[in-house]
Amino acid sequence: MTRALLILGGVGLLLGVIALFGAPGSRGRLRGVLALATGALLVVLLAAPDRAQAALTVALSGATLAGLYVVAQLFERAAARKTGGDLRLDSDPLRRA
Amino acid sequence: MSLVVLALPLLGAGVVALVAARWRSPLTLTVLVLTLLSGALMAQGVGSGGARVVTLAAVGLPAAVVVEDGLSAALVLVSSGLALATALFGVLHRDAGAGPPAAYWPLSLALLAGLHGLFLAGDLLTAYLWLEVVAVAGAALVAWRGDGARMAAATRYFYAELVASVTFLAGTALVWSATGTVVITDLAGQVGDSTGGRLGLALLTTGLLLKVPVVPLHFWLPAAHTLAPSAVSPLLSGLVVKSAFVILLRTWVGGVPEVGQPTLALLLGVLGAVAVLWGGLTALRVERAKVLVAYSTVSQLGLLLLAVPLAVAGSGEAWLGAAFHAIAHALPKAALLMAVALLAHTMGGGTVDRLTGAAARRPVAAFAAGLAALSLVGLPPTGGFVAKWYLVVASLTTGQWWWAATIVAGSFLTAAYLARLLQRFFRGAGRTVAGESEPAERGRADVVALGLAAAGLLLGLYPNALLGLLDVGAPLGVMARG
Repeated sequence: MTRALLILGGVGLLLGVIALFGAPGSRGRLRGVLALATGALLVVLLAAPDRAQAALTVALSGATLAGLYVVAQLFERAAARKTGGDLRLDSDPLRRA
Repeated sequence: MSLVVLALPLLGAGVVALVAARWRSPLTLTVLVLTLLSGALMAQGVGSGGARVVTLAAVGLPAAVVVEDGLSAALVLVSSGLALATALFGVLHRDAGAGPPAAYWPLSLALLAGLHGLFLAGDLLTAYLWLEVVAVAGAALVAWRGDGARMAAATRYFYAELVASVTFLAGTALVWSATGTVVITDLAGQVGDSTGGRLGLALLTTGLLLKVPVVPLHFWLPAAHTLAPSAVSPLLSGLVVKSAFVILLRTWVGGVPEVGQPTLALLLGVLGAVAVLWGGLTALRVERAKVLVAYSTVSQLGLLLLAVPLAVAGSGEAWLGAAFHAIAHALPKAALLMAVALLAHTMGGGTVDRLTGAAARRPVAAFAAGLAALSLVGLPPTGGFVAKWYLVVASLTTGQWWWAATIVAGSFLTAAYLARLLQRFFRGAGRTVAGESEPAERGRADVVALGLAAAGLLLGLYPNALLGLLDVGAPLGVMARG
């Protein structure tokens, strides 16, 4: 069971990376961030050596990942304003300059 | 003292964010001066009293460990000094008629706090938290008040950092599960043949390689470092890229050298060699001066990775060479970026062609660029030479001569692309000056660049103090052995 959930966490991480850099739009990228964060939290939860440490560590990691999600939203909003909504992570920003 | 160098910029960032805009730059400079003095006291304490490990226990969490050794003390001191110099540069130089935005001051202090946290981190979980601080502050500094291109670069930079952080966190969790600890020095002999532990090490190393970054994970760096404001690029290229490497070095050399020996360490060395050569070759071809400097950073970061297989093989010279290079590269690279920004401002553009004859218009900045180039190439008697000397000695004494050959080839490439830039500066008469609206401030900003370039030279002329400090608490002490 634990191994299966760990694999699920790993799959979440992988899908998150693919969605983040492959998705053409802001919504897809933010879903990628959510998949990444969920995958990582699952791994942390299952990997912690004891339950007490797992709870606090997941809370701590969850708070930082939630913070990153909020920052990602801020970046997306600002980028949409400045780039006209056509931001793609797989294109080189130096070409825009 | 380690808590002071952490708390000062962190609290300073909060206070500076709250005060009126006109007080932000003087208050930031004051905090930076105090942080620099604290860093000097910390270095003096480590130099005279030896390395110290402080464990901060919190109920329900793994212990947080702060390492006060020569490496952390030297990096804290240099990063404080470089942050102060960059802030001064920001005050003195105006980007197209506008100074750094008001948000620059608290963000730069938050970035410095994050860097100090990473330099001092002795455990993986604390390192993860500080990596987040550095990622958010760094990307925000690139993005603030930027146009579409800069915003795109900052967003790509932020997402790369986010993926790296999450990967590092997952790896840390797996290592914790396999060994029961996240304290780096306690990992020795604990990972063994555990699949989870090895997978964890692979994940956290991948995260760190994306943050450094190393070819082929460097895709975010050239745009972010090139398009960042001129008072931000020196911090990114000089300091931020080194912070993840310090965790990498502590993990693989101070933590689990037995796991890396020999295959994984060799792989890291090969990635470093590819970065040295590929970064150098690309820098030869690019048109914009700041892009050239960004690829130079990619190349020079490769040198740091070359030290891993050598240090894992037991060479103390490799540890010293890598640590010395991290510092000896930071100062001239910051100086070169400042000089290029000043010259591009004066010449009305930043392409290599456009900078033809720039030395006639801004001789001090051009001279600073030349002095910085000597150190980046690694010519004697500069700091860059000392760092490369130690790495070459480590290569030859461990019988791994191919790394020495890579270092020499990398130095030739560095000489070639920097000569291409410098010969433009010093060739022909200056072009028509566009945007030279602040002649009174021009000279003082140039002096900041010159001071940093001169510091890179002084490191080579008087290397013993820094070498002695870096050896304090090093896992592979060299100076103590004589």
